[in-house]
Amino acid sequence: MSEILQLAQVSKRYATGQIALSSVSLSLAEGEMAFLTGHSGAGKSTLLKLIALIEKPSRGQIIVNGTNIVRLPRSHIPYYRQNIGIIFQNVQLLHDRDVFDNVALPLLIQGFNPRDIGKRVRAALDTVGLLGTERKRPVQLSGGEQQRVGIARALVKRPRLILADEPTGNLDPELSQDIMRLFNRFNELGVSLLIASHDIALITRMNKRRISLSHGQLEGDA
Amino acid sequence: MSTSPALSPHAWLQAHLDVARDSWRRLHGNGAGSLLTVLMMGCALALPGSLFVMSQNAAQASQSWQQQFSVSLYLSDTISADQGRALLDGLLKNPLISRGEYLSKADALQEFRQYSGLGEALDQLEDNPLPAVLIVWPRAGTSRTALENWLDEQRARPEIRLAQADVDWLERLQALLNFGQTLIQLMGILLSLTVVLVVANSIRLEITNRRQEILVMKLIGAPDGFIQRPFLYSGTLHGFLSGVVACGSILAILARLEDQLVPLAASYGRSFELQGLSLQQALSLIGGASLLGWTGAWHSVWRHLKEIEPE
Repeated sequence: MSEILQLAQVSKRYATGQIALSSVSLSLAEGEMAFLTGHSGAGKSTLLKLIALIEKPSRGQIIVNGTNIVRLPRSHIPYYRQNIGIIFQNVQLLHDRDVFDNVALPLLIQGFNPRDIGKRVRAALDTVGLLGTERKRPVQLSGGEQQRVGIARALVKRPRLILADEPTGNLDPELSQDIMRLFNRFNELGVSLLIASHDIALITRMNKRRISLSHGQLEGDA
Repeated sequence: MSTSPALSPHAWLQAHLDVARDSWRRLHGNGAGSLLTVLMMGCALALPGSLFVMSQNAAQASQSWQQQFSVSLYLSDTISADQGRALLDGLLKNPLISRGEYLSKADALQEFRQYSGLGEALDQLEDNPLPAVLIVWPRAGTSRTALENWLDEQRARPEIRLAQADVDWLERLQALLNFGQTLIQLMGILLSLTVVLVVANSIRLEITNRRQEILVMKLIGAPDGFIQRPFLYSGTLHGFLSGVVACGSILAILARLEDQLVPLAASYGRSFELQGLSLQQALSLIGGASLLGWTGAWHSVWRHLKEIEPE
């Protein structure tokens, strides 16, 4: 099985001197789903930010789909991000646009044909169970629904790798379970997922690979 | 993995149309703020614009005066009317001279009586003190030196007491006009810069207001070109509208001035028509204003978009 994501000896030291990650090595196979766990401040978010190129590592290599992204020039970063799906804890929807326009944004950025955009957006909304909410504004939706709009937005460009940072952080257990089931379905379709979460009970139930971080170091991988 | 599908021309056009419509919607939605900005820019452009049109009118008028200026050759009293006319015929053979006319002593007195308003006082005179005059019009475009040479020749003739061509004031007027035009150009540059800065500031505020949106777009992979597009459109739209405002203001200013200038010109016995803004000039003004708007927006985008990066 080929690897979609590889981290080799990755360290991140902030300008303040704080060491967020030290010498972390791990890899994610194509089509694999893994959870990233650890206490708050263990380095989960930093790890995802490094993969999303929101931050650059102080040392080490990050190879995504065969490309070492650490050396990617600034102008290439947007195109790199277009090919991965990122889901945030605080959803990051645009509140002055309706659900359809929010989900369509990645396709608009990539210059898709308006006809294809409509089809793809409806398919993505259907997947997350929100078909029919196209013309609603994000504020008219519940927290769980907003999170699902965020997931649809990550999904609409059909990425091979999805990164999720505490996607159920603000949701009750039942909604969290729904979201996890959704991720499971994507995984069955061949999408690779790396999900940061501190919800141990939920992760245990999912019965997937678990990568644990503690104080910026790899603690366990099972 | 770092490739993006090439945009089809249709999608590209559609994307631009969407952004243009969105810019208009935002400008419209912003209401009073945008209106004030556009009006401010419009006024800044109307000032040099209307002065420019007026200086053009003045230049045109001075040119037509230059074509009309004449030389007066005052004859000695010993010259008879026939001799005077023969002299004129001789002068008209010179290619420098386009036309001429002979004014006898009596004609000169009559003309003087008419224009000086000294009718009764003149009646008191025992004899006519005015000399007969040859008035000749040099051909348009005659050089100053050729004219001076010709005048010197005439002054040397015994029949001619005095030769007068008052072109100095025309030259002074020309110099004044050149000075005025330079002043207007400098003012134009300064006020264009003002327009750029006003747009830049307005776009900077817009960028600040849409900071969250820009962050989200960057996170989901929007390249700089995509993010800056709405701001560039907004700046260009501001410029375009200010150009339209400036054109309207200039037309209004000219109409008001013409009301004043027509009676003034009539009092000098001249008909006068103010040349307005030509269609081409109006379009250039609007196009130029749009370009200034784009420049201001580009400057803001270039300075501030880089500062907004996801953390």
